[in-house]
Amino acid sequence: MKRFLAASIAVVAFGARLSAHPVSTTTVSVTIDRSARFEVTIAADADALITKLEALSSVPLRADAAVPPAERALRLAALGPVVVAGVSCEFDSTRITPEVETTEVSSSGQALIRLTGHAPSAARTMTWASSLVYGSYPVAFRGADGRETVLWLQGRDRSDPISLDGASHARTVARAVWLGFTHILPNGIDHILFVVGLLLLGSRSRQLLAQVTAFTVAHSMTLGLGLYGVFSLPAHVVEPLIALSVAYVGVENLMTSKLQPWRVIVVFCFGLLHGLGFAEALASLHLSRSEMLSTLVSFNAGVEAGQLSVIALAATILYAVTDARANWRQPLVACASGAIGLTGLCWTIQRVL
Amino acid sequence: MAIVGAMAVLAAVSGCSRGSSINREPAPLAGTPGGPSTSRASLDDTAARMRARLSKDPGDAAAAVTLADALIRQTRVASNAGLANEAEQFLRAALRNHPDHYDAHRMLAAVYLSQHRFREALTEANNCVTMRADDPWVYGVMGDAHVELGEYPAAFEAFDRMAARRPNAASYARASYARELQGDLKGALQFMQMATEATSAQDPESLAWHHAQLGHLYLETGNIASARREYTHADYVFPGHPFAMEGLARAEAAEGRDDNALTLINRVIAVAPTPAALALAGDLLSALGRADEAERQYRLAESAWQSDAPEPSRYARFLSERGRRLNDAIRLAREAASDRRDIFTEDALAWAYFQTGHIEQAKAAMSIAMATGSRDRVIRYHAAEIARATGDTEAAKRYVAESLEGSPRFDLVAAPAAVKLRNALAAPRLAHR
Repeated sequence: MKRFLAASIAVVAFGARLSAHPVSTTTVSVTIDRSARFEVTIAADADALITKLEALSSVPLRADAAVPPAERALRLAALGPVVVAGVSCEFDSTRITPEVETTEVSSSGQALIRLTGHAPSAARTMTWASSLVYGSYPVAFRGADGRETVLWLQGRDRSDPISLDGASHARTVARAVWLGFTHILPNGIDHILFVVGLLLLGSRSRQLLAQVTAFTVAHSMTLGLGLYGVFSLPAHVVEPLIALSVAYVGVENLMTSKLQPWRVIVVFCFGLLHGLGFAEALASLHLSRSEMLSTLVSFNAGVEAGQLSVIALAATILYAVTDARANWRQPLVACASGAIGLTGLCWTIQRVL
Repeated sequence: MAIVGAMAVLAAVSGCSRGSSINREPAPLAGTPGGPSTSRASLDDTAARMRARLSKDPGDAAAAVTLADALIRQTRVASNAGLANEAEQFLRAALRNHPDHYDAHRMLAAVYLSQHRFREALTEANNCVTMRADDPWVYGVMGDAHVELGEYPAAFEAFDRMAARRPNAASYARASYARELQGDLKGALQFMQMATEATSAQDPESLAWHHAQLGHLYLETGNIASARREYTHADYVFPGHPFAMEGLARAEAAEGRDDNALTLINRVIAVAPTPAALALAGDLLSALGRADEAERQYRLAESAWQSDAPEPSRYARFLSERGRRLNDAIRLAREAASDRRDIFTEDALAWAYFQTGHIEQAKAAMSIAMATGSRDRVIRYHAAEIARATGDTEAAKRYVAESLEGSPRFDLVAAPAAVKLRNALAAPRLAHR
């Protein structure tokens, strides 16, 4: 056995060595249109597929296992029933047997088999399985809304049920909102300190609104531009500048007690930087082009919700304290601003180094 | 007062100095102290938890590393190479956020290895050495990659470095394989036993692998009862482990119980129809005289090696050992040997050359296949046939005797041929007497 095992040894974490196989050259794509018609396309090496299908069929084997190129298309076409018997398309647990639409063999030896069928009209999920692939292969599901889901299956594994009703899109939106929210609360400590810094100097709601609006507009702009690849800056540039923005609001809060006209402009500029940071987080989701806009809006909604939560919480604490002891406001603002400024400076140095 | 407040807040938040960009929640690897078990259910659970973490924060490097580790282990027990591809994607996403994350880099090297991208694994491992020169893990990766590429001196040196830094189950297992490659089966058994004893019960997946390797080594030494015990133990600690089931089938076949062996290998095929398992089923059916079924299994194995798990080296070995499509076998073995000169690829090349009458080329390839001193019985038998063809009868006798020593049914295809060769080599002497 080691003759085979040893030839494919690889490593595993702390323990033993690991054997694995390369992935299969077979791919499967499943598309479903709005009329519930589905199409399965199997792409595979023609010679290997014909050899396998003939071995699985009940027809007598030819003496020579090799498949002459001139015979490929004819022999593959005759094996349609074996293909149909080897795939399983289930819609809400109802198995639908597809029909062979076409079989083709390209000049490069690639086989393409198209199977079609009609799903029950009210079907909500589809499950795919095949006994024809013995390795690890990708299955791409494309729904009527154009959304694509790719799964890796091993041999006879059944896929998880794939939603046909757009519920997966709703989940993606919810996930983006949640990612945006948690990017602020609790993960975005630098963004939190920046927003709290804005609050400390915006004692009047109009002042606060002006700063928060400038920040929101700015970061939304660069978030969109960054996500669509129009403009971006490397993380090692953005991250120290975000830290510097935190330091700036803290230090300025210590130096003045009223909102200067330039403050809104500066906040806008820093908002542009924070947006680039958000874009980096969103880019790591590897969105398809069709998902970008809805995810961008959802993510931004989550970010705004996070920011508003921070402001609400901080404002509640601030006003609760100053309502009880009015003379505490100034030292409290000074303390908090000093802490924010010092933290921002430390981060700036740390991120530059 | 402002300064005091500032210091207090600074102390509180200093652990988050990179804000949202670093997740410090620990994610211990499966099978390590404090980490989850590597049982099948636990690996599924670990993978699900880490996927959930990564869906919230794709830049969570610790989760990506733990997920990749779980996926690599699942790759081994489910033969699902697509999981290794998935692991690579998660690690690359983590490295985009944290380009210097050491654990992600070294796990990526392991992923490359499991994908048979040996050169890239070496490059990544060398990169890791520049970041941290004293990590035994990386030397294990380097050694494994060198072994696969047939660069044995470099492999053994890497294994030595690994063992010198941390003598543990991983380094014992590699020492065992190094001994086996050099023909020291007794030493290989001792090291694999040490590896098994050094493996935590918290890591049943590795434990099963080590027991299965012990089973293989006992089979090689002809101790079938011990081999069966080890394979059974592997199946006990990790139920349904494919190496255990396949090993048990081989143990049954080695004792002549081909029907039992076929039942076992069909169970493996029902779950994971690997080309090797299909080939073994073909060999068993052939031995049982069921020629048409055997041929169908062989063709399924061919198809699987062509497209489901495309590995030219192993495909060439399958074809050459069974005398099928020998010109294809030579072409495939040459292709494989252009990138890797491991002893098994060279043996496939030698055997294909021999069967097509290219004796000099066969002799040259066989000299490389035997360079490490491996006692692999099939290689020894092939060497015997080639030696006989070149007129070196004494060497042929020695090699064929070594191939059959203690295990006259060591392989369903090669062993009967080796017996015939031994008898043929003995015949002139008998006639002379």
